[in-house]
Amino acid sequence: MKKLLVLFSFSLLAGGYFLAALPAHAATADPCALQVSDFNKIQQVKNDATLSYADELKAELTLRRELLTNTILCAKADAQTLKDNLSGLTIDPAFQNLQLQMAENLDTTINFYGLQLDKVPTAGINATQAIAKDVLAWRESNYAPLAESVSDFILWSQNQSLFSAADNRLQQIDALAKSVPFSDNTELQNDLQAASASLKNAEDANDAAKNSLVHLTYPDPTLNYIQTSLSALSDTYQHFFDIASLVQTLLPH
Amino acid sequence: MNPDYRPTTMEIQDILKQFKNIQPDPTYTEFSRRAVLASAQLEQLSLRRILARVMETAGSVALVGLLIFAIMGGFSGSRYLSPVQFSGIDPAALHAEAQAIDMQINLANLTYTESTRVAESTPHASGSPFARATTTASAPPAAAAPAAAAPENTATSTGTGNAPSSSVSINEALQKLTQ
Repeated sequence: MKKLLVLFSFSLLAGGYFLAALPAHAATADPCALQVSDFNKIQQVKNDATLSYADELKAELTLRRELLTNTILCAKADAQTLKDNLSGLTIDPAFQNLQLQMAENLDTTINFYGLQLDKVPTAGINATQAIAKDVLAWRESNYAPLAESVSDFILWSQNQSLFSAADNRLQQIDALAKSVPFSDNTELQNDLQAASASLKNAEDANDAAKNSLVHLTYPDPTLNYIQTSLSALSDTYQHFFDIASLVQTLLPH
Repeated sequence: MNPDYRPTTMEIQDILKQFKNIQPDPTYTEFSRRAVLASAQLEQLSLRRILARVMETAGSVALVGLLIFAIMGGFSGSRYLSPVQFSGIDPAALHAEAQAIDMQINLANLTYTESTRVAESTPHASGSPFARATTTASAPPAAAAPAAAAPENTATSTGTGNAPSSSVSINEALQKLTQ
């Protein structure tokens, strides 16, 4: 009995320690938890009159290395997440080459981040500033357009099932409209035509988005096309709702 | 053997007794059994059997008719439309598909918002791809509202969503570390 009590107490202590330690560990382990206050510490160290010049430099360098490491780790994780999302897509075989090319470009970025990370532990203050400039320039000139294209590609790929569903839905509703006794109703015919026209607009914009993804242009209009296609697709469903409501109203019960 | 030989009655009886011991070849037995079992059995048609057959056929026809009646909407709210045709305007299915589209619209607008925010919060980014995203992505009116409502410095990185207001984006962090 005594042994059981001791074991129970030990388990409670161990569990409590684990729970107490977990949030603290999680907070420090997340490189993306970048706070303004963390960066303000650099200026605080510089303004600290109690520190000698050597201690001030040492403290500033430690801070800069830590912050730069976390920032690049966060950027690397961001690129890796994007790559995972891209690779996880189930897409038409015609787009697999584009998918692979984008994944390779993301790998290039991930490798670049890895190389910059390797430099940080031995970098001085000026070198950390130079690394930060290099990474920022890389992100603006290489990663940002790539991330934008990949995000657009993922979004576009996800949309394709919606277009198939809308196409099927229009066919079903068209067949229904022909079979009702009031098939020549003007309002019904107008709604059908409007639904068909807006779906056509949506599909045209969707095709334009596909073409701009395949033939990368500057400026990239893909997102604009995707937004237009989705907006038109939403309009199409509004017409479907109108038709459904009209049929329910006119149908003899 | 002599052709004029005539066995005696006793001899014939002996020969017949030996015939009793003759057994067929087991393989042939099995083959024959299978052949017999596989052959069509002749039924003896009685009045009772004929009536049972008629009842079976009538039952099958009735069930098929009932099924067709149900498919054609015999018990639905309409005399004109089948449930299959009604499924085209099923409100629940239409709502589900419309909601999926709304979700994608929100995602598209989120991408737009993130690009815009980073461009605005990066002073030296004019002429950069971030600025390109800002100038080229003309979001519909629905997108403009969340973009305008998005507070400054609300993302930890591009494409990772919103975060507390004290956090900084990757580019902002790098910008601070260059100074």
